[in-house]
Amino acid sequence: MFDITADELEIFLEDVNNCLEAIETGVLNLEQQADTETLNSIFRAAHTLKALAGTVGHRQMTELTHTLETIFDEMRAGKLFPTQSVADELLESVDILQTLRDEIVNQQTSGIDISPYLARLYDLQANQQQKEDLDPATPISPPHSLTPEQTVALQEMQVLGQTILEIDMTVAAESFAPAARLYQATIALMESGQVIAQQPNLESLAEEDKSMWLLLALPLEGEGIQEIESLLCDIDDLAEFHVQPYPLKDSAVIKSAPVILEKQGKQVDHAPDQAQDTSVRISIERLDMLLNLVGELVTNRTRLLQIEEMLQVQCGKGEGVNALSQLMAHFGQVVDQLQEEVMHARVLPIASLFNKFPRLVRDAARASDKQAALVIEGESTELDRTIIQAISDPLIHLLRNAVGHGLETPAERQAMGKPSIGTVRLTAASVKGQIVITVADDGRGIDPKQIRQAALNNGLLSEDELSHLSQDELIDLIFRPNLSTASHVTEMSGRGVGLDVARTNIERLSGSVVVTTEIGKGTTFQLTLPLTLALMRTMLVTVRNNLYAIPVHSVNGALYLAESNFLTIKGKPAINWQNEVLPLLDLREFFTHPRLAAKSANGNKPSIVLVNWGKHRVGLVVDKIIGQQEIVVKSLSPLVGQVVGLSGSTILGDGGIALIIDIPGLINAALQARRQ
Amino acid sequence: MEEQLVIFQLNEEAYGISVAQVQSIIPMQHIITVPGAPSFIEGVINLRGAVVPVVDLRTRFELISAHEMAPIPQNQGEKKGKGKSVIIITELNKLQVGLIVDKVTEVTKIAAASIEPPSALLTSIDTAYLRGIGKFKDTLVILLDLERIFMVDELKCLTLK
Repeated sequence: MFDITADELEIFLEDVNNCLEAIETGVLNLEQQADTETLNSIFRAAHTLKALAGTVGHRQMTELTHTLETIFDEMRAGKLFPTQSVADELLESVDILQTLRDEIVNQQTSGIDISPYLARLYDLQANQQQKEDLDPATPISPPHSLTPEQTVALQEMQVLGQTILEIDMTVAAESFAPAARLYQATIALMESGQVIAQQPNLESLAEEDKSMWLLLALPLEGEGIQEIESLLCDIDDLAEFHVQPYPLKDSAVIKSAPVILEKQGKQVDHAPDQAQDTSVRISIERLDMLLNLVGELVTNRTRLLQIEEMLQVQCGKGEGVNALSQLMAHFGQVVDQLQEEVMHARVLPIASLFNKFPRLVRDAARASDKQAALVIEGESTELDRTIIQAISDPLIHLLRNAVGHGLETPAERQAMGKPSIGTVRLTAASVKGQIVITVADDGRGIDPKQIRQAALNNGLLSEDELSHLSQDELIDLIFRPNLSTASHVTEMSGRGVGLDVARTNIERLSGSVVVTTEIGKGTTFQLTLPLTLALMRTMLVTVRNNLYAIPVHSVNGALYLAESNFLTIKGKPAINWQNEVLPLLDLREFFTHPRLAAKSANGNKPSIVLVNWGKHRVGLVVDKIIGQQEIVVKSLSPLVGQVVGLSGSTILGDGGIALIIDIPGLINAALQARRQ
Repeated sequence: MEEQLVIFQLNEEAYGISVAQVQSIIPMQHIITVPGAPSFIEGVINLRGAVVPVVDLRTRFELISAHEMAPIPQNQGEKKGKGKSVIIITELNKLQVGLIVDKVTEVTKIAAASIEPPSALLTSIDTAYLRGIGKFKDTLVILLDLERIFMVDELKCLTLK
C-alpha cells in the first residue's frame, strides 16, 4: 500500500519519530516562549516530515504536514501567535500524524479522515489573515538567478576544473507526489556531485512544484552528462529533463534582493549535515549481536587465564609461558576496552524518553483540571536502550498518578497556602553503578488511613491483617492490584491498575520501586535500575551442586556462620546481624529438584549472602560462596519459560552454566510463602 | 517424493524427525538442572556458547511414569552406567532444543507415499504429537511433529511474552 520495504521501514520510522518529537517539543516550548530558533526547528521538522511522507506516497500525511508547515511559516513571519488554543490544535495534529505513521507500519488505513482537522488548521490561518489583511501574493524571485555566494561557489568549481551542468527537469502531470520526485532526483544528483544552485531549492520545494532547475558541479572534467542522464532515467515520473554544460557568463549573475539572500543564508545550514556525516545508523539487532560476540570473548578470556595459570603450575615460568602471560595481559585490556565501547554504543541519554513527558503532564493536568509544571533534571543520564524502552510505561503511570492523584486542584492548593501550580519533579541520576529515577510531586501525599479504608472496602485485607501492618507496609499496599483511593475513576488514573503493573515491569528489569510520602507535602517514587541488562557483576554461589549468580548490586554482604547462629523468630529462620534481625531464605530448600542432591556433599557449613531489594533485607542461605564474576546475561530458552526466582543464565569461563537469581522475584515468592 | 529423516530409538521404538529440523547430534553432556522448570525440561547445556534446553522425550510423551524413570546418566568426570544416550539438537523457529534419545540409528530417505496417518493402536504416545507412521526396512517409524510437541501449549504462550 505504501511504497516502503520492511528494511527501509526501521530507518524511515526513526526519521519520522524524530520529526514528530521535534514538532511536539517545539510546540510545547512555543507556549512558553515563541523564539525564532524554536520556530525554525519545528518548521524544518514539518518540512522533512512532508518529504518523508511524499517518498512513501502517503497523501494524507503529506497534506497535513504541508498545512502545518504553512502555519509554522506564518508564525515565523509573525502573522500568527501560538496561543494555547493554537497549540492545542497543533498538538492534536501531532497525534493524528502518529496515527497516520502507524498506517505505514501496519500497511493499512486507520480510516481516519483528516479533512476536519485540515479545516480547523485553515481556520487558524484565516483568522490571522483577517487580523492582518495581508496581500496573499508573494513576490517571486526572477528565474535562474544566482546569489553572489552561489556565483563565487560556481567560479571556484570551475577553477578547480569541475564540470558544471545545468539541469532542467519536469515531473509528469499525472505524478502522485511531484515534489517528492524532485526531492528524490536532487538527492540522487547530490550523490554524484555538488548542487550549487537550485530553484526551487529543497527548503522551499512546495507540493505543487512540478519542475526544477539546478546547477550541478561534477568532480570529473568534460564528462558526466551521460551518467547524469541515466541517473535521472531511474527516477520515476520524470516527464522530461535536459542536461547541458553550463557556461559561466557574467550575465548569469543577477544581483538578488538582500531579503532573499538573508533567507537563503539562514536556510542553507550545513551544520546538521556535517553531524550526520560522522555517524552511521546501526540496527539494535546488530548491536546485540556485537555484544554477544564480546560476551564470548570475555568468557574465553577467563578460560584462557585459567589455562595460563595451569601452564605456570605445570611448566613453571618458562619463556613460552612468560610470552603467553604478556600477551594475555594485553589481550585482556583490549577485550575490556572493546566491551566498554560496545556497551557505550547501546546507551542513550534518557532525554529521548523524558522528552515525551512534558506533553503527557500537560494533557494529564488539563484532563483533571489541575495546574502542573514538570521539572526535569538529569536528562543527559545514559542508560541502556532496552531499559529505556522498558521503563517508558511505568514512568507514564507514575507521572499520571502524580498529576491525577498526587496534586490537589488549584483551589485546594491556594487554601493550603501552596502555589496554585503543582510541581512534578522527574529526575535521573547515576548512583553507584545504578540508575536512580525519581518522580516526586508536591501534592497531598498518601494518607495511610485512606489506604487502610480502601483495602477494607475492596476486601483486600481483613481488619485483623491490617492491624499487623506498619505505616510503611500500609503505604506499600498501593502497589497491590485493585486498590484505588481515588473517589472518582478518571480517564487518566484511578482505576486501580497501573501502580502494580508499573512495579512488576520495573522488577522484571531487576530494579525496585520505593515510595515515600508525607501528608500535605507530597509523594516520591524512587526507581532503582541496573545500568544495563546485558552484562552484570555477580556473586557466584553453589546451592545443591548447581551454580547460581546473584547480581552484585543487590548484595549487601556475605557471612560465614555456623548453623548454631541461626535464630528462630515465630517459627521462621532468621539471623541477628549488626543488631538487625534479618529473615533467612534457604536457597537449598527453595531451589530443589528430585535430581539435585539434598545437601552439599562435602559437608560445608552454609554461608549467607545478604541481599536487599527495595525496603526488604534478606539473608540467602547457600552452600558455598565462590566469588565475584562479570557475566554476560543469556536468557533461559522460552521453552524453559519463566522460572520463579531465576532471571536467566550465563556461561562461565570454564564452560559451566550458572543460573542468574532474580532477587525481586525470589523475595516476592518468599514473602508470599510466609503470608500463607 | 521422498523425505529425509533422522531415525532414532527411544524405549525400543523407532522414531523419525525431518533432517531439516536437525542441527547436530552430540554425545550426552553434563546437564544443568533448572529447579522450577517444566518437568519435561531435563535441564540446560552449554552448546558452543549458547544455553540450550534439553528435553526428555520420555517425560514429554509420558511413556513411563515418573517414579519408574531411570535417571539420565550424567557424565560428571567419566561416563557411568549405560551412558549411551545422545542428544539431537533441533532447531524450531530459530529456537534450539536438545532431545535426549537412546540412540540415533540412521539418516535415511523414505517415500512420502509410505507415510500413513497416525493411529493410536500402533504407538504408545499421544497421536497429537505425530505426523504419521512411516515404513522403513519392514519396521514402523513413528514420525514426530516437533512443532506440535513444543508449540501446542507451553511454547506458544511463552514466546508471546
